[in-house]
Amino acid sequence: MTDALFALVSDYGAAALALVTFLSCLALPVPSSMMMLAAGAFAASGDLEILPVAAAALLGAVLGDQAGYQIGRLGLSATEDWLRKNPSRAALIDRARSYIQTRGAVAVFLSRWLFSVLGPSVNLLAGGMQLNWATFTAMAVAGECVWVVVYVGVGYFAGSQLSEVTELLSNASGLATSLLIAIGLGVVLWRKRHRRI
Amino acid sequence: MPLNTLKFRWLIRAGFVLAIALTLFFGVRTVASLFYWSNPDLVDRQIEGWMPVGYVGRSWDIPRDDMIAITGIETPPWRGLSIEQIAEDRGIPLEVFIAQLLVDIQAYRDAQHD
Repeated sequence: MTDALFALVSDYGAAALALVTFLSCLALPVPSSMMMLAAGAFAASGDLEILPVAAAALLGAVLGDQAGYQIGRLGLSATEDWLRKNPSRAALIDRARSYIQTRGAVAVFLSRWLFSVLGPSVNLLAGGMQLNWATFTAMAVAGECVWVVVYVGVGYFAGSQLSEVTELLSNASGLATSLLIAIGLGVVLWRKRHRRI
Repeated sequence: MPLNTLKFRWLIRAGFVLAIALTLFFGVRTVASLFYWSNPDLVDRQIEGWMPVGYVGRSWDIPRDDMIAITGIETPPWRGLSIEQIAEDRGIPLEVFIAQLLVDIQAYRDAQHD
């Protein structure tokens, strides 16, 4: 599978990157990070020009984030009345909303590159919970820039060990995300440890 | 479902266990990849169809222009052409082309050592 992806990068370059990063921000299971690594490696070996490719990847990602945000916003405004019929759900929505509006910015930034699996969900939540659009956009663009630079950069320095580096990075990223979730759930369990049902 | 029911708490516990399991899984794989990566003897030097010309050259420490000459492509348009595409354009099977390339690369390297 990774072979087919690398082939897409060498055959279609910037266009492939733009499309793939866009789709990945909408939670489609396309391995955009892997293709960014390939783009970096192929730029280093002189097989493609890095600036157009990096710019295309960034543009695709930014547009994808915006699309996710809008979908979240529309989705919630369409269903919110119905969701709020249940009082505890309404309370949950309010809590989530205030949490996202106060602390959501960092989540948006970090989920662009460090916990990228969570990125698409964060887009939907940010839109649904009405995180300030300017804040969202600023954090999303900043995070996507970090993502492009890190992945293309690592790919660039991967030399001819692209397959190995790809595997290493996807494992490391899986590790970071599952560790984050484990810590998050662990904290929740710890806090609720004395509660009686 | 209300947040404090037993069922919800059980769900969080299950999620926690799963997250820990995944963390261990990825942790082991990350360490394994690191080990593999830092050991140059294990690095794969096979030519794959998706590899563009320059990339193949880099794997074998052959300068780009020499690598292009070895594959026999005319100067433009060669940028980013993958091995598979070159084989396809010439109407030869990929394995045949790769085998030929390996022979030519070896010949090039032998010539360098003279």
